[in-house]
Amino acid sequence: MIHETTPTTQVALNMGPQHPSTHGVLRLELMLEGEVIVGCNPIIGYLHRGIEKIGEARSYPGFLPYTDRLDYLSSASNNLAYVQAVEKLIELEVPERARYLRVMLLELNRIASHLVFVATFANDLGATTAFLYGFREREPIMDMFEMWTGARLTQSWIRIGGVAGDIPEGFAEAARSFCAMLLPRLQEYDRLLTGNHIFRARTEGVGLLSRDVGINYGCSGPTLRGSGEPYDIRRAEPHEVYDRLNFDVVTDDSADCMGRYRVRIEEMRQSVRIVEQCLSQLPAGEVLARLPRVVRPPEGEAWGRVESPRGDFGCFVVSDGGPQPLRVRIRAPSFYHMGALPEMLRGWKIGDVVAILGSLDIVLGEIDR
Amino acid sequence: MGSPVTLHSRPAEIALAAWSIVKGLAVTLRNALRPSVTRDYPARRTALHPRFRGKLGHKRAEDGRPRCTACMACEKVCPTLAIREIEGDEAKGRERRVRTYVWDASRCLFCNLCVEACPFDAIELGQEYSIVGDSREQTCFDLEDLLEPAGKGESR
Ligand code: SF4
Ligand code: SF4
Repeated sequence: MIHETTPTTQVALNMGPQHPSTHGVLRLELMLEGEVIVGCNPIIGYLHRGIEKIGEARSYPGFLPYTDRLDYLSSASNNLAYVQAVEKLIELEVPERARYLRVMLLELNRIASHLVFVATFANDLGATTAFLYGFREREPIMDMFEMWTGARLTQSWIRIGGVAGDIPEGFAEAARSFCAMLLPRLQEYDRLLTGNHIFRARTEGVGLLSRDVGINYGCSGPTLRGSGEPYDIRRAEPHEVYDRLNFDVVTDDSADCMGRYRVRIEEMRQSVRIVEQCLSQLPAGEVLARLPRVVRPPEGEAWGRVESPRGDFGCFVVSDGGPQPLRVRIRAPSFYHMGALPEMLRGWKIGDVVAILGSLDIVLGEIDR
Repeated sequence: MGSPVTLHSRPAEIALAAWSIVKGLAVTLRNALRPSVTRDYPARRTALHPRFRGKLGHKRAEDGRPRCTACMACEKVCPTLAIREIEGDEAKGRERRVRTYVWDASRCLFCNLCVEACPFDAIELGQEYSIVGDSREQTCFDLEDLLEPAGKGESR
């Protein structure tokens, strides 16, 4: 009653850029009425490195390692989007084996990224133990990346024309035993988190994003699928060998934080399926197509599109026939999710900000570029 | 605007939350009994995989001379200009040998492009990963620092 009769002043509150729950350097300018959020203005750009501009001053293969630094939790998907655009420009045929290896690298990256999501999301909501479990499960993947590509995070392993190197001896066994280990562990998380009453109270019905609003804001990936829209680039526009692999596009109709969380948990299971299929279908042969010493695509433009762990990751490359791109443009899914955030926060209390923001699984590296 | 927040204050709710904690602790207990996955770094270090991409190194040929012929292919391909000041001696072509070579670790992306570009298989990204210094100069390495120690059996 007091609430309705007493005029309240609105208070502006800055959250971030050093807040540990903003997943990097994001600043949220929140307008509060008491504890309730009436407005939010995300302020981005703290991690801006001008990567798109750098692309105009590097050779085509030389820009590749920079794309790793966009969405650093899943560098393979960035590599692939860029490489696909360039391959479309020069009309290059990629060896079959390399296509499978790319998919495998991508899916392992997806599992690793979703594990980080589970870990940090749980941590934001106060479940520190789950944080450690997520990172523990991720470690064998990092180890496998090191074994295969020599780097844990920024692999730069997908190259124009294929992948830089074949999987080493023992990798297939390591991947199979990892897949076998992950499935029961995921069940354990289900018991620890999904069934946890406190976790559910903080996520169920919180931060609703209706399907239409999501589509209008350009959301994609698990964020949109958590609102019941079965949109997945791997199905909508199959790239590499996804059209030959069996997997389900996971959706959840609840449209809340819990729904987005459940989609990601289930997606890990699907990724395990894909990795196992890749391992068993892997054809023999070359992994890297022959390229001229200097890559000079003919004049033109091309889009590369990949389903990254965060959504529809795109890369647009314009060529003027020279050895360097005329323009490189990155479409980062997190950026669009950031746009929908104020919509999702309105009406919720300040304690829910970390839950809602965490459920979007943003990476500032790709937003700020 | 109706606040979507509900208060969880009923005794039943509290009991449910408490039960959730007990269930969670059961998982924690099971994990506490699993073998430890962490190591006491730096006392005990994990073995790195042979492909690990760390500090750049120059290889020697069988005759002990550096394999590098100062052809500049690596300098040209490096996207961050981390390789610079390559100079060779007076000899020409394949007989030429590198005299100066600077690799700046603070600029390097460890992308492997230089290694792949080298036509003489003269460089590699090695196993050393803790490259630290107080200043920019200390992260720049010249040929002396990069060349693998002389003598047989050193070549990995
Ligand atoms: S690894 Fe990449 S960034 Fe580092 S020196 Fe070689 S080409 Fe340059
Ligand atoms: S390291 Fe290899 S690519 Fe670089 S200058 Fe020497 S021979 Fe040429």
